[in-house]
Amino acid sequence: MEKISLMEAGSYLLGIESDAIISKAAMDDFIIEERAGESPLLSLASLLDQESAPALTRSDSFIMEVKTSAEPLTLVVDSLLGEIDPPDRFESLPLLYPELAADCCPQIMIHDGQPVLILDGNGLDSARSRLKNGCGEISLETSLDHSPDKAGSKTSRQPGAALDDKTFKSVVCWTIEKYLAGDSDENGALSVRALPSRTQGVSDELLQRLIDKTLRRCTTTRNETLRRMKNKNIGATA
Amino acid sequence: MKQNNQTEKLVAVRVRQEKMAGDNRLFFLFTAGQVEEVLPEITVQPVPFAPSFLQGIASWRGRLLPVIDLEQCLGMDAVGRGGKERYLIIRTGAPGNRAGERLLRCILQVSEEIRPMDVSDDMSHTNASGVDQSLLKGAYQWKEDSYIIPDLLSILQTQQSAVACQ
Repeated sequence: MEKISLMEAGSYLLGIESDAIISKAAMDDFIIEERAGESPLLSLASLLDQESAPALTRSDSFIMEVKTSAEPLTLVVDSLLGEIDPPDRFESLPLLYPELAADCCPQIMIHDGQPVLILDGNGLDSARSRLKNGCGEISLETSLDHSPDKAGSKTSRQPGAALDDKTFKSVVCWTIEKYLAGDSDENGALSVRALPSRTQGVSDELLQRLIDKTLRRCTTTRNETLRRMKNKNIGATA
Repeated sequence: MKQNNQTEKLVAVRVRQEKMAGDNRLFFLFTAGQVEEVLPEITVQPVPFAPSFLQGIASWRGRLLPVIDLEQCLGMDAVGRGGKERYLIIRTGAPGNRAGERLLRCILQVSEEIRPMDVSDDMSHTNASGVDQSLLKGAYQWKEDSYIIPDLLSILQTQQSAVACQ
């Protein structure tokens, strides 16, 4: 084991072998660029607490894709704390703890005087299968649509339909195109009402949030990169 | 508790629970040789999927020890909490007590009312109602107070006992 990546998820201080991490991204970047594919997002804190994941309220969360012997797990954690060297030796959880805990965290180490539970991706995957259905799972719509309507808001609220992949990519493309053309308003904003077409059932609020997040990303990304992202998404929706 | 008319050094820890009838108080009882240290605070790292009496795990002198809420483990009510707490670093027995006896350690989250005792008079056996008897070594009455001796080795040694404590 070369390095261990430290992270916080809820009340847990955890580590994982850095080589087991396929990719990492901030939540906002993940939603705009990466987006969950077939595998669901898993709130690590909710999974370990054996709870259903709440609506994701922290836009400063991080996404981590972790290897397993089967499909990778896409985990949502609260913060990434950097990498540390592994200790000379690891400890095991005392026998007192349940098998489920030992499967997920077969090793523990001490770092700066604090115990750090070392995650095992396969053990975590196994635990997820054994727990109640959907434990810890987050829907992408939930992660985007977590702000309540404010009084006086002009956006309409329709019954929420899932944000399908095609709609997601077409909205991102359109937003990038408008940004590159300088078509935003005096405040640099784009309204959902300007969208050429809307998928039936998907709420305006959800679409507006996606537009806003994409615009924020545009302001910190080079135009050349934005053009590449746009072309990539156009290809995917063709 | 009396051994050859000699005084045994003991440590009594007030049980965190509702007040008992009258002026009677309930204490956990340990030998002084079992108690290694008393700490006002410690960083407890929760462990997922653990039963509620297992508060988590903590580091003490380079060792990782389970942190146990003893009242919860023994099936006592959680009422009466809210006061200050202490963390007792405790062994299942005193070194040298019995040849070959395995000594395990744990951390007990307890009340701040901890006091030494010298017991030279006989204590009388009593029943400890509302407590999981399978995890006790004994229960005694001395003067107006009751004392229970938890069987820490049984509590720490097997997962089965972890299930029984829920």
